[in-house]
Amino acid sequence: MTATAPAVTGKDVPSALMRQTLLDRELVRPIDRPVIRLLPWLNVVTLGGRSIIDRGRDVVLPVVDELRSLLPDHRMLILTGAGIRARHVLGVGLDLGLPTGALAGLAATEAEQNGHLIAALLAAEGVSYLPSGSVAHQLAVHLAASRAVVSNGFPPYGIYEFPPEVGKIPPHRTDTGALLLADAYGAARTIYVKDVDGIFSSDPTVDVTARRLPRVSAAELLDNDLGDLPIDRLVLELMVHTKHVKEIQIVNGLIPGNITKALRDEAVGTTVYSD
Amino acid sequence: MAETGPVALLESLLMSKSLSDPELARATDAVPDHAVLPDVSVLKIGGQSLMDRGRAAVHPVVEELVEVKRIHKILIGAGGGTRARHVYALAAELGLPTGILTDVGSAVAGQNAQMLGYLMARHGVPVVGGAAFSALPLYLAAAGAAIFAGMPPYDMWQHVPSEGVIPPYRTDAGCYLVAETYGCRSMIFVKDEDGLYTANPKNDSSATFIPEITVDELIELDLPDLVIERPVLELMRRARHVRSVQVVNGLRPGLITRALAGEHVGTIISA
Repeated sequence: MTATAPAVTGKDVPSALMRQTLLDRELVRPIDRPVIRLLPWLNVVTLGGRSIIDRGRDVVLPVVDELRSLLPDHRMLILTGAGIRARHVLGVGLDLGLPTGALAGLAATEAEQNGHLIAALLAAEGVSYLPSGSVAHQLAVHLAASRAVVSNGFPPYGIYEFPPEVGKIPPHRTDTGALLLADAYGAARTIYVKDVDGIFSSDPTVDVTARRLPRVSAAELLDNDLGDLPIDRLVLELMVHTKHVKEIQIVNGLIPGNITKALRDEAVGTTVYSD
Repeated sequence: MAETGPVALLESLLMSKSLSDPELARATDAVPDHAVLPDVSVLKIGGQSLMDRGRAAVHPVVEELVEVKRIHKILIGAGGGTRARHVYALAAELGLPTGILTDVGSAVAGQNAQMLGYLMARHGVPVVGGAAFSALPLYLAAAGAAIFAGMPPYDMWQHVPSEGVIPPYRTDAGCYLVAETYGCRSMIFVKDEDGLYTANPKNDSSATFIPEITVDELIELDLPDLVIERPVLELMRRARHVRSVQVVNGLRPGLITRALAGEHVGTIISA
């Protein structure tokens, strides 16, 4: 069969990966080198959409004040989640029959709007909102000019979002976007600011004996069903492969001082690790 | 009167549950799907397999695409190729992360899309990307075809592979996801082999041809090498619209046309 195809040769650029599919595990291995940390001093701080921003003035202003007080000592990439408006737009979009790839962009818009709100509150300190493209390509210069920038927690997957295992909710959301970005930059710390004290041994809303887990492995969380986790399971799954981010910290942003403690490497909330 | 039934349940779950909640996932599963561009087919033109071969391989493919667009609406995705391999090797050797490799690799698919664009310009076929994707229906209605760079725009948010730093989701995945999101009628990978083999036929003479296979069988086989990116198989398992793809040999004239007509002329992989 192949004989009927005309013999045409390729124009190659010599490289260790030349003329291979990039799919043969043995052939790809020789180029494996340790990955460097591009921004080893970076702190990625993610503010939950529903858990923090949707709560309004009483919660957001103290969190912003705390972030402002941290600027002299820490360089931060502040990422924002989507909240209740994303739930609404997902509801409308789902009802219209739209695909996951369309829903992803619609929900991401809400996380972006939350980012604009937070950046506006910190504008006087030189903090601006950066779109994903600038975060991917000009983060270094922006963080040389300012102690912090704000961006959208959602990864820019848009129409390229994966179909989820079941249903149509876009699987890559703020928690996952923050992890992947922090790992790509080799960030020092990856902190998730939520409205709970961390991860508990069981659901604290139904079990009075539930206790907070100060440290827990991602594998353990995936193996045991501890009910609703304050972090997306996809983050735990991806932490198996991340090159740099082997620990993430979940802290309660409703309690002033917790973000500061996390940035000072103090034990607060729950640290999830992966070996 | 308050709404009841599946719509009301979905609304209430969306407002009260975590977005990872299994019950919510099942409720969204039951909603009817609206296919966005159901009469469009996505064709992926291989980078290493076709573009890098230059005129001898590309001109006949372009002629065939110009012919078929009279009958079929086609979205043409461009692959990377030898320059992507060079820049991946270089960047990996420098210790750079997967996110950087994704970015520099996507530029190569962009170049290939541009080159196809210059060749198809006289036939009114545009190259689209980024925000221009929202004008796709217009381009397809006016020209019957549009060209795009196949790499998904994951940039610094690309998944990290289990080993090494080569981006796991590249142009096969990017083209496939365009087809799936837009609910397209077919996805055809145009390469330089007749389809899938038990090994890479370019360096293993004992490789035998597989005309048809399921995703589950293919994952079970765990072949050392594969004609399409492995993660595409997992995406296909989850897909709602594009549950099968065909890999055809673009070096053999007429196969693209026949595959678009629904004929089995290469390897069909189905979920």
